[in-house]
Amino acid sequence: MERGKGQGHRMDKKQKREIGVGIVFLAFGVYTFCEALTLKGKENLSHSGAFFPLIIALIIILFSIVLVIKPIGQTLSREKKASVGEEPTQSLWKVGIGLIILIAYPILVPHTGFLLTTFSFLAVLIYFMKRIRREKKLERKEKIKQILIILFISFIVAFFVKILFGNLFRIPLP
Amino acid sequence: MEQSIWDIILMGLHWDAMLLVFLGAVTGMLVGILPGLTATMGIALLVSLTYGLTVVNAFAIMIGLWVGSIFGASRSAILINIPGTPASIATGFDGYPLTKQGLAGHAIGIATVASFAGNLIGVVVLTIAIFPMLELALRFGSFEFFLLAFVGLTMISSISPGSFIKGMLSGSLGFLVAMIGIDPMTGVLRFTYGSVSLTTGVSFIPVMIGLFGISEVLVSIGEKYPKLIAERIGRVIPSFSTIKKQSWLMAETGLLGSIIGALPGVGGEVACLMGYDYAKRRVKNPTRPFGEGADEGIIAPETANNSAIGGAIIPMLTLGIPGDAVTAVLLGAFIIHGMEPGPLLLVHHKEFFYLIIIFMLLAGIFMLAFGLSTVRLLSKISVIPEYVLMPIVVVLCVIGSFALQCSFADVHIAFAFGILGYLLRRFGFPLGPLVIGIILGPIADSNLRRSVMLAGGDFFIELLGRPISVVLLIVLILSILSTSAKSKEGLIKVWGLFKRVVGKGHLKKG
Repeated sequence: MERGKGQGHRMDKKQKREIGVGIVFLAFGVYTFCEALTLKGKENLSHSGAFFPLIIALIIILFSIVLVIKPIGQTLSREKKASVGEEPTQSLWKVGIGLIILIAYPILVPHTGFLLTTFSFLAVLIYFMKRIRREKKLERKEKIKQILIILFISFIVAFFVKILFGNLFRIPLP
Repeated sequence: MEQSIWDIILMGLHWDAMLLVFLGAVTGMLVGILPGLTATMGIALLVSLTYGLTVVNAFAIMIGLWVGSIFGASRSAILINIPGTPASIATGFDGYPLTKQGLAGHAIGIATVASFAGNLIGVVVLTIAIFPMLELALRFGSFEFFLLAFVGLTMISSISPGSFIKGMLSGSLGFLVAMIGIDPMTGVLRFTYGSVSLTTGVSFIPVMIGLFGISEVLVSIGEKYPKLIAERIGRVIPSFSTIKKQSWLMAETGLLGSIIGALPGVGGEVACLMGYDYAKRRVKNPTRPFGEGADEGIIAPETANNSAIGGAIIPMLTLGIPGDAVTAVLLGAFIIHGMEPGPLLLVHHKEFFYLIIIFMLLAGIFMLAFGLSTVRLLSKISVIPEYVLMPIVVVLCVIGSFALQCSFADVHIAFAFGILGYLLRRFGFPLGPLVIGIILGPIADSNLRRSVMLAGGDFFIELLGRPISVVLLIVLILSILSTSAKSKEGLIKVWGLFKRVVGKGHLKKG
């Protein structure tokens, strides 16, 4: 395979990511191994509760080393195709904000009650998800109309869930 | 006292069980139709809502949901080219081109009939194979169960999307999650870090809800779904001549799907793809070229993925080994309802097997009737925007995980595993092996240590002296070797050589 100008043995983004993930797993494997060693009591190692976690930690260490070495090997042998996952098409900031909204929901439920929190959560998350998918800027009138629709959907869903699970199925709600 | 078959049939056809199968099947169909909601997520959410039900009724609704979701998943694959569940991944290859040609009704009609045929074939294979398999399973000792747990993990890792290494790492994480809590053999606390709520281990249901529910919502927040197209439905019920013409293909792919489903670690997703691949090789003159709306390209994957359900129940009931993520969740449901999965389950509760057969058949019949009569209505559901759907999923996740023990600790576990699941998916790690690892972890741990104790110092000598263990060991090695391209080439060469030697042997005899 002909090497591209100035490319040399440089790794692409995917391969660097694979190495990073491999190192995280390697560290986790070593940590688990050390942690598992503390579980060994006075009995024989193979009979103790530490035996299986130790084996699993070794498997993790072994496979994470392979995960680290593989992209390096591919770069050195100048293989074009790396057997790594897809390039993430995910937007981190969207996921970050979404996660904050998600985590806030179970934290707020015990304080503000199921119905009100569920209604608010649904309204906020639906609005957020719709907004990040919007392709063109909306007029003020359209915006208000959309918010009213979202509030209506959120109310109906929250109320329906409460009646269906709480009252009809008698499932304890948070 | 053992119940007569008549009593069992009456129990299965009791109005409340039938109603629950119907409810489960319809709910499952909606779960299948809605992109992003999978059969595994649906069952994981449902398990926690079935505490108040008897074990028979709980399984009536869960089997209904399972069959319904695989059934329904073809709809979104055909209508909007997004498979409702991974098990319908190949259905859209030819289903969606038919929709674009204004023949969505025809595609849905043949997919529904093929799904029903697959369901029937799966039931037949399950009925024929289960008791011989049980006989074999009863001969399994701790050595075999330990090896089987690893075979299941390596097989699912080898066929999972992403690499085998990532599958194994994901499965190993699952094994470690299963180790949290008191060690049942020594009473030592493992990985609890002083937390009282972790001493009994991590509850399986919140983990499932987090991995499949919350992580899906996070993925959905981060990406865009393709635009939907306006489709015309057209004629739905396929003609008798069409069904007759395709009956052999249905029988063949149905059998193939059942066998694939019965392999530990392999489920409807692989069955669907292999069914499609089989049809492409086998059918020389399809109704239209493959990829452009061939009937065979819809019939084969739909028959295969539905028949895989029957196949997947075989290792689940006889060995207590999950065939895929759905059966892993179902095994969790067994435990929650106070039943111990494994060979003795069928010995002590034979009626349970017959009830599952009845529920599967009922769900299939409901789906055929409901599926064909509500095509226009259900096709509208598949276009519910995901920005409305996903927030509702979060609410259901919170309710489902909280209902388990009325504890917010379970909700927190669900969210923690949701984030973990998202991160793993983002970096190309499959979640299936993680789930299988959680289920198989205790089996592998206790049986490995028991085997070592039984063998004294001669573990490997003892292991190699047991025929079933040797077979499992060979399967384990082959499943690992088959993952690397070079090993695959080697195996193909060895197989070719073997065939040539056998072929020559035949010629000489002739």
